[in-house]
Amino acid sequence: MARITLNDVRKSYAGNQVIHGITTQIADGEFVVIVGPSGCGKSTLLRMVAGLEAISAGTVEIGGKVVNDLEPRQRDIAMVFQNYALYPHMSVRENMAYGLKIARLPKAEIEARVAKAATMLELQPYLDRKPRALSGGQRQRVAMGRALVREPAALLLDEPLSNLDAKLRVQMRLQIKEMHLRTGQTTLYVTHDQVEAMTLADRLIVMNKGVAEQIATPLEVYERPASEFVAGFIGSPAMNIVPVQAAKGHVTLPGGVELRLPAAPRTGALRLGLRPEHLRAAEPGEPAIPVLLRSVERLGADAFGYGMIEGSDEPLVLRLPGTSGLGRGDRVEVVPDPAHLHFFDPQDGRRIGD
Amino acid sequence: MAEPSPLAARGAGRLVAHFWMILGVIVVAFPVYYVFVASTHSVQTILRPPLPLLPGPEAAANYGQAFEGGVRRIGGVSLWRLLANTTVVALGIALGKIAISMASAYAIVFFRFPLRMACFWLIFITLMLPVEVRIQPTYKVMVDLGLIDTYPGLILPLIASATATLLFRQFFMTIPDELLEAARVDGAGPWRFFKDILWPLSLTNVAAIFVIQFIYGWTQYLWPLLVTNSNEMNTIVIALKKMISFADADTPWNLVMVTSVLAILPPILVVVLMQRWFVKGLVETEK
Repeated sequence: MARITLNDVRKSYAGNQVIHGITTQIADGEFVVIVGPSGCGKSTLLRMVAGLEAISAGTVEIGGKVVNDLEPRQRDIAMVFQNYALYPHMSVRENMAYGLKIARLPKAEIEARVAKAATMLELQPYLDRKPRALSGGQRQRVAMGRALVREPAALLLDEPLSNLDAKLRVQMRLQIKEMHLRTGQTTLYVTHDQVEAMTLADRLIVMNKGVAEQIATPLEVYERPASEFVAGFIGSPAMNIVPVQAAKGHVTLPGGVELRLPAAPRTGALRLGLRPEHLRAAEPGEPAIPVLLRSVERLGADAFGYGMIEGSDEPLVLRLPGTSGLGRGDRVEVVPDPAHLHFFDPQDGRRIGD
Repeated sequence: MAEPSPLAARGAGRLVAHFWMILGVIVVAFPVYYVFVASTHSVQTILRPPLPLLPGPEAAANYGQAFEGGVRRIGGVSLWRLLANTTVVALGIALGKIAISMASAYAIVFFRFPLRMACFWLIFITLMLPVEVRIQPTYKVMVDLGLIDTYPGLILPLIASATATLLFRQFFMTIPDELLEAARVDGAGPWRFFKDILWPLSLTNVAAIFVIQFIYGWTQYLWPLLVTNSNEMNTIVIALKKMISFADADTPWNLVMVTSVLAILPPILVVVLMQRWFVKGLVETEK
């Protein structure tokens, strides 16, 4: 177990910077998820911590020791790869024991650790099988087991669930969470899936184009997204972002609707973020946003209405009750929850106010 | 049994297919069979046409005679010695090629060093320089090193192999990067990665290359002819050549045929014994 400290970590390929200085501390036993769209540099960052990718500038510390120039094996880390990367000619047992064998642990100790991990991951019946005789989910568990038996200072996972089907992914997500609670292992987890990110993380690093847009707890990221990018990335369906003109005490929406919103942090052009789940149906006579629905997706418990603000081309997504009888062409009036308003700067997309 | 292939011919098409196949087998196999038949008849029978199509009664006598000095009388060296020489040379070439080409392919694929691609292309262009092309300088080098009439002299010039290096390179490039990275994280250095992961995964390829190169080594003619003066160092192919170019005596054809059979046999055995591995290595990549 150990703390990981990233200090202005940068990466460039041939003068082209892809990671633009990331600084954060991961506490002992913390579960941190790096999340972002593909190509945002999240895997590169993880691989720099693992030692598989050279660090162009800045330092990475694991357990208080700068590891920039250390080989992966000297960093006391274990890693789970997206494609599992199991050794195809070795049995499950040999796969899990390989790292321990190289570390010259006593045979009895190796066996004990493999047995323990196999029990935890329900892999005992498969210990003598080759990876090719296993299902995707079993392979994934072997990859987890191979990392866990090492009892590393830090556990690194690179999109470990992305090759599983949806149902298995949910199961494994729960299992990973439980395993973390049990082992208290410092964990760095990369994913592009916001559900995995929200459910697993103690803390999130939301990345975009090589920059950490926000580093905070999942709830904080949801409630106070630091930028328009984060706001659009976390939450499903994504937050509505509407260009507005703010004046004293009220804002003007596209289509000329005026809303009394005393919370606007400044006047002039702004971008207003409204989550679909924070728009409620208007009481009769209340000033509201009129929306013309184009389509409604029914998911059972909920339904999502996709429409446009009346009198404009501005799209707006609403969350409706699952039993709602609304459909294409209907007109609804909604009111934003004043406690959940987000304002962003139209130039740089940063959050304004609190 | 395997399912019938969707291309399986029916009726007349099937007959035609079989006709050509059997014809092909006869064209390829009949001369070999005839050599075997000839090795079981006496010289007189062989020289009096037509040669019988079935094996004769002299098999034991011919083979016994060949091993007990018959070949030594005409070629100056025992059949045992010839077989031993050829085995050493063929094994040396096959194993040497595998060792060198695997090592160089490993370096080229998995390591980043200055002039890596230059090295690769240097190896590549040796494809255009087989022994026959560079025979004079190679001979000179062997003379200077005092390797005439030695096993190293027979083996070394034939070992450097661009073909095998390229084959191994192609195979190594299909190994997923993540496998190498997983091994690095597990603490394996370059040597352990090679020994524990790359070598076991390469076994079928090694087998295929071994078969090809063993036969290549076994059937070498020009280079052994040049680099050996003493009969004691002859390979079996050279000895055969010497046996039939005797002008002053009647050629003992029965013994020549026995020697031919014994020259053919080991490559066949290698192919038959390693056939499954061989085919696997050529068609399948197990990952």
